[in-house]
Amino acid sequence: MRFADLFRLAGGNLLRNRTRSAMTLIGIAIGVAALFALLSYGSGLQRLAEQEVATLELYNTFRVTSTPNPVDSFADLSVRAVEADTTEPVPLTDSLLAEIAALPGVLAAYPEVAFPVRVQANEREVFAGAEAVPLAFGAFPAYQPTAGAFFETETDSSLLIPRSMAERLGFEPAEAAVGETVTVLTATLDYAKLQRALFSFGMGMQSLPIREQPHTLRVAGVLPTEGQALSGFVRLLVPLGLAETMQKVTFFSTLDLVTRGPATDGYAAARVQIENEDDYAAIKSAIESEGVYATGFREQFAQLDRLFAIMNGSLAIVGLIALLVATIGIANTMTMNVVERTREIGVMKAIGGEDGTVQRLFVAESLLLGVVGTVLGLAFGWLVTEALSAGVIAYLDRIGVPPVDLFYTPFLVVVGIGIVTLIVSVLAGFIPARRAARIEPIEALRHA
Amino acid sequence: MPDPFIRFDDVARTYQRGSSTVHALRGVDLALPPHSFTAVVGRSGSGKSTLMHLLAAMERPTRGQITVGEWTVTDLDRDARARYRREVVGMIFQRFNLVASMDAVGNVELPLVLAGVDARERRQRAEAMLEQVGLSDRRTHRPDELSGGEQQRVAIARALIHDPPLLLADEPTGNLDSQTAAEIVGLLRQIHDAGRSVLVVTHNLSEFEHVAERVVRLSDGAVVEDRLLYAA
Repeated sequence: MRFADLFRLAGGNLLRNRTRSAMTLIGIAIGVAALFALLSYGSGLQRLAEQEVATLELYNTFRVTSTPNPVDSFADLSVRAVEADTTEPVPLTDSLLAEIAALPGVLAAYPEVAFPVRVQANEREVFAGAEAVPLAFGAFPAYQPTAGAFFETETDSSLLIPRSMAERLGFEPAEAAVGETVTVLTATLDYAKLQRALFSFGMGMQSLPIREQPHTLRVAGVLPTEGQALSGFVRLLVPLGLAETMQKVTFFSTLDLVTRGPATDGYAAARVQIENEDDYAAIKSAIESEGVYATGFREQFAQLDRLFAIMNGSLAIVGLIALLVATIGIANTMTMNVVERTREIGVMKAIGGEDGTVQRLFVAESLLLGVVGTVLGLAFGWLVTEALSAGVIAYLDRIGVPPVDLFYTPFLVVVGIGIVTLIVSVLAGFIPARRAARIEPIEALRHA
Repeated sequence: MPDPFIRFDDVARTYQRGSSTVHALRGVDLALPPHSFTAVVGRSGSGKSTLMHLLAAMERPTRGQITVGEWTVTDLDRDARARYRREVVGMIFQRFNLVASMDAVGNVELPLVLAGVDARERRQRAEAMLEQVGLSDRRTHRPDELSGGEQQRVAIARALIHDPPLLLADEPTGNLDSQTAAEIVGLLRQIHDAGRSVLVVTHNLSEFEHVAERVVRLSDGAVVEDRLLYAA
């Protein structure tokens, strides 16, 4: 039988029982749409993270610490425990950072200073994470304000805030924030409370000995939030020199405390920004020859990719369960088709149809269900992700967070879903088709 | 006598029904010449349908050999038997066995679809065949829109579309009134006159007495009569 005739007959056969075929198609479409939406969600989150890392130049950044970085063991599931380091830590001093900064290919080496703050203006307030950056960062596009200018000196009493933060602080338009002053509240140790606690041996201390220290800073510029969907709207930048003079505690959570390692002289951590990714391995080696530990964000994000792969795999399994149910629907439909058309199969064989022809005809019907179901499912899945995306964006807009497209569907995902669905469609139809092929014509013609 | 076109040599067919064995055919020997019109008659259960099914290669004998022209039917594997039916045999049935979802022309061209014939050619041949059986005005009608006689004509057109040398008819008038039955018998006669061998299985010999050249009577799986009614 010719290929075109095979599919013409198969299509005609499916149209004979429209309700059954339609119900089967709906099942496939729902399964495909579920798989599409879940994988799009996983890919969307991964893309957001990758965009953020790339935008902030983190692929060319090392985090340098005196002790091994235990964060590796959080991200890398294959590491069950980090070997205890018994050697004396090398302190991260200004002189060591100067040596690292002098290495060829190093753009900047600076102490890592990040701390939680509250920002107040126009009788409004937002919580944010402040990050200290050296002047050299003014060269990176992601750190270039869209309004105003980058810091002029290391000790400027100024800050850069993201556009969405300016809007949430009541500056309309956001550019109006440039030149205005805002109050930045940092958390710092309350020595009076600490003293009282010491004298009472810790008895009666109901809360941590922490108080807030206000700083009046001028908004030097407004930062873009494009490509920084995950953290861009809560991160503000201050000049490194200014940050070092501000009273503050530099931890965001107890996790920061337990991962900090034994107290040493010098900084807890430093960052090294390199110019060219080709120098990555050589610079890492040169830094570690000083007795400190350099962890590339590139390596950490490779581990992150693995976590995303696990997440995407888990989402795919959930989607595949929906597809499996649809596959059972196809198998059921095809089995019923074979039973109902047993006599017709006998006629086809009596007039010269070969077993293979009959089998191909039923497989073609199954494949057609798969193809049409896949197309409908992909379209339905796309509509669902678009609707959800629009809903999320509308919600984020309402609470003043920059829009984030949570869904992203790489073409390979679409192709993969198509191939998987077509394979399972054929497999689902194969057993009923095989059964049809093996029917003896004379037995089939006796069928009522 | 010319070399036989159809030959049965000691053909037996038994079925197992639970613990008992049913002997549908018991060592049948038969030799039918080319272009013959044979009526196989007998009571229900005499083995006449089994004989036709064996000849159509839709069943295999328990013993013996069947040859049709150059084909040793009993030696063929499943695909070769399908090819044999496609090239040598045209079949019509008491219950017509048309595909309900296809119109008349679609049913007629179905053997050519299975044979992979080009769409335009098979459509032309199917329409010509429907014209031959007098149904050119009914070609777009589905089986449930046709009378019994018309359905059997469509079935005959389908059986002949691939120009087989042998037409097998299993009780072709069994579901028809006497007038329509007579028309179908006349049509079979024309087919035979056009140079084909025709073998009809019937329990009503009177309908075919004036067209069949030969009568083979079966009883309890054995040939009890094999006589010429008149020479071709």
